[in-house]
Amino acid sequence: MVLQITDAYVQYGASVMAVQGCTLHVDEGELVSLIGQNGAGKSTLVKAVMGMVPLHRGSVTFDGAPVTHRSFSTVRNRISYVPEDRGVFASLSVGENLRLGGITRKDKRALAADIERELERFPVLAKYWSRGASLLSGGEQQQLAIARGLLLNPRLLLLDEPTLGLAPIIVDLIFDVVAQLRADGMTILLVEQNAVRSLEISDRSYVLQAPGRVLGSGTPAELGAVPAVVDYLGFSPADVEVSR
Amino acid sequence: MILEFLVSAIGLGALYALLTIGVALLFGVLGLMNFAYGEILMAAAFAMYLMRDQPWPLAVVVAVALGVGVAVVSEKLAFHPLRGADPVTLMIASFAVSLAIQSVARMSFLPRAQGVSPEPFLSQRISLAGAEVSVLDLLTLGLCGSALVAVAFLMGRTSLGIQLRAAAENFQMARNLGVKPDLVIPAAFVVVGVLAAISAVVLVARQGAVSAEMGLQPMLIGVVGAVLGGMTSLKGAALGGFLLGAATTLLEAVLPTDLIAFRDAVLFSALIVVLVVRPQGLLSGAKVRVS
Amino acid sequence: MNGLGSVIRGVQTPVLLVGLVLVPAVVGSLGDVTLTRVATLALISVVFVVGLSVFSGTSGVMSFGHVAFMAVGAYTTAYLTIPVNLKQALFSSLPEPLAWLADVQSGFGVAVLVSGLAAGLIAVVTSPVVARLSGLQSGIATLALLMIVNNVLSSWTDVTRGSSSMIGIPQATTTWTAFGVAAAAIVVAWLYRRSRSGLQLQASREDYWAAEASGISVGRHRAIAWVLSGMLCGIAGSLYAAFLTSFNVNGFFLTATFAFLVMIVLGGYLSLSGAVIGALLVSTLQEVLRRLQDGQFTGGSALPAGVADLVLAAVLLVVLVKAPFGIMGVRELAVLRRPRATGAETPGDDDGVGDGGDDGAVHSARSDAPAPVAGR
Repeated sequence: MVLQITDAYVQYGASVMAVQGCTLHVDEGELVSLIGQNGAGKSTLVKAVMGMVPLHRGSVTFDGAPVTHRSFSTVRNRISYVPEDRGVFASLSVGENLRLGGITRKDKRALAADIERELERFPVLAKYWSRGASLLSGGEQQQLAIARGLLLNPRLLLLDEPTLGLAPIIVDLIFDVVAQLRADGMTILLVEQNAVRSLEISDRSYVLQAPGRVLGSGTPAELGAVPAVVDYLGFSPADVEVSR
Repeated sequence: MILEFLVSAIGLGALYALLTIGVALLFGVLGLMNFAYGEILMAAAFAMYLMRDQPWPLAVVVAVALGVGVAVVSEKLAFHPLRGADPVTLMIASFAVSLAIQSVARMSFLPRAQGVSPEPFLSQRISLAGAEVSVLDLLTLGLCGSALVAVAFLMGRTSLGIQLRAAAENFQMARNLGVKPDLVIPAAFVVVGVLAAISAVVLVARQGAVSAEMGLQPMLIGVVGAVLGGMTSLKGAALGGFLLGAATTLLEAVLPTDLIAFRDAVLFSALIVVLVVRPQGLLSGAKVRVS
Repeated sequence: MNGLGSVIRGVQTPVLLVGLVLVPAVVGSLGDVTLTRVATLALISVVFVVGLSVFSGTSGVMSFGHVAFMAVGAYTTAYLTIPVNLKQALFSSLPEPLAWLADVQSGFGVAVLVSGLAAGLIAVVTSPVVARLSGLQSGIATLALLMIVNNVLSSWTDVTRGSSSMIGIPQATTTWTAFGVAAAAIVVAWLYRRSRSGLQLQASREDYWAAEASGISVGRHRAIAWVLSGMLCGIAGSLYAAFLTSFNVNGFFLTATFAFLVMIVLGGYLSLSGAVIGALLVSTLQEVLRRLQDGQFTGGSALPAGVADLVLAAVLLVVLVKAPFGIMGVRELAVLRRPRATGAETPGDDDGVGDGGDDGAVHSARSDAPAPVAGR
């Protein structure tokens, strides 16, 4: 088990307990989706995984070791986090942003090869290599953020709402990339509002309702058997055509 | 005449740009509006006084060492324990550090202002392209210009520079990518120490004196330049400082003396206006850092 | 008994604080000249820090520029009370439109009031700025205000004597005058904090946007606090001028700002009691350090000047690191605390909240943040 969250309670800001008792896990090589509407607590949960916010109660374990607010080092544990706002550095160029992704790697030659690999995966980045990242469109920035995250060769890739606000063509591209990454063996936790597409490509999914409560989990067929899930989503996951 | 003015203006611009980068860098990486920046400068300036009978290059080296030393010590003692505190707390702390360093200076080395007679070569004037340019202005331009180029190289081409710029823009995200705070924060202070030292060398040459309170004006200039230029982008801040210096030279040449005395009032009024109307600064395109 | 209890809870803080400042007043009136001076200055500091707290404590926004108001008050009082013939000698080259200033003369009481109003005027003019800014930007802006006022006062030599000292102010501040004004300032600050505007402003401290969203116009209330606090600090300046009989523009600059900063941070910048306690503590500390420096305790050998500043700086740093909300935190002085509600599950809601009256829309404003109404 790469990631284990047990009965987590996480606070958002000063006053709101955004996650109240969430339990989930991600196994090696799985693509697991966290599906839910805005405000369900998905992003807060992810931040707790990253050690960016403290856990009020419960535990988060990564590769067997507990994650705490103070002692977590993402790089030591090789989690790549692509946040909702993408976290692209506007004052740096595309190339510099990518270099940052590999800043902790010692193996320079392998890093160079990996950068080439990402440029092949996302040709637009090669095109804009020396351009300031602030000049990229939302979709291009998203690709940059993902590419940058992949340069860590992470054990776990955390994608927080990667397709939010993007044009349909880019949404397709992103989901294709994620599916391909899964096929290549990467362990991914995908947080999404786009339930259908997520269900299509994931091994398992959790459906979350505010505050961070797991309504149902499992394959689309298993989820379809939970009436609360069908209610919440407005459709039955069992009807989704899983493409793998 | 024009050439003379240009050298003077660009030189002062470069000096102010250095001051501004020093302020903006710490603000970007740490959220620290460093009141004590002037005292780092003063420490380096004091080295120039201490070594006034030694060869000038040696004095400069000692100045840099002292500037970096004070900067790093202030980080260890005062700002490290406050890491993560909100910007206002940090600013108040820097106020305390500033006063502490000034007190130490006043108690020990600088109870009164000390004169540092300028090196003889500085008061000469050289013929350049048919104009008479003062060596002092050339020195200002040369030293500060080189420092700016060096900073640009550091920031643009080295791994440390990229990490510093990233941390200055979004510290949390930089951390997520593996940038070590215990590397970039002291590194930022070291850079600031070096910049302050070079500014100090130039200022001592220009003013011919060292005093415990001499750091206030440069620090304020750095703050004004950084706010006007934009604190979220080092380039914007540097540009802001540069324009401030050039404009100051222009105004001093043009305005009657009794109006010049009110320069600070005008500058700070402009600063307030910019803060209210365009807090990200006049030259930066980025979003303002939420304080 | 309950009725009496709640009456006591309602007024205990200002009463206790006035009692507290009575101590230096008594000490000052009984002691020698030095002690009188220290006590009176301490009381004037109380007026200033209480004034500062009216703004910074209620809005949560720290101001670095309030000494500017003090300066305005001092200069106004100087102009109003220096005897006319001396004025005409001191200000021989007043510009035409201001020439009438040389002939103005008033009593001390009027001077104090007008000084407060003059400072208040500057506050009104600058209030749109503080209404809009928060946090660090406000800190920088208020610092800029101090710089502007200092620059103008130092450079407008014809009117202000520039960097020469202002002299010849008739001494009118006594220890008991200072006490009276300090007590009045405490009461005014207390009433303001419990007023509708004050409570709404405190509600915005925890969460600006939540407050705005529930209809509180934070900017307007900040402006009100700013003007009131400016007036109080102007009055402090007036008392100061009329006590020392002379002053210099550099006395209203960074050193003074720093000393007041230590006072309000040590005491606790969010609390009115903190302001008073901080002012008294630091004033005492400053006197002790002065005597130490003069060699009073070390058997005659004087310490280098600057030790006092160093100690104050160290104190400030320690407080910032260990207890950034100061001695009082958000609490007020009280002897009768609210009876603890049983089973109430508000994390961190210790006996600090809601004491001595309900300016506790404050601390754990978690669930209460936007509640502007007094009393719960």
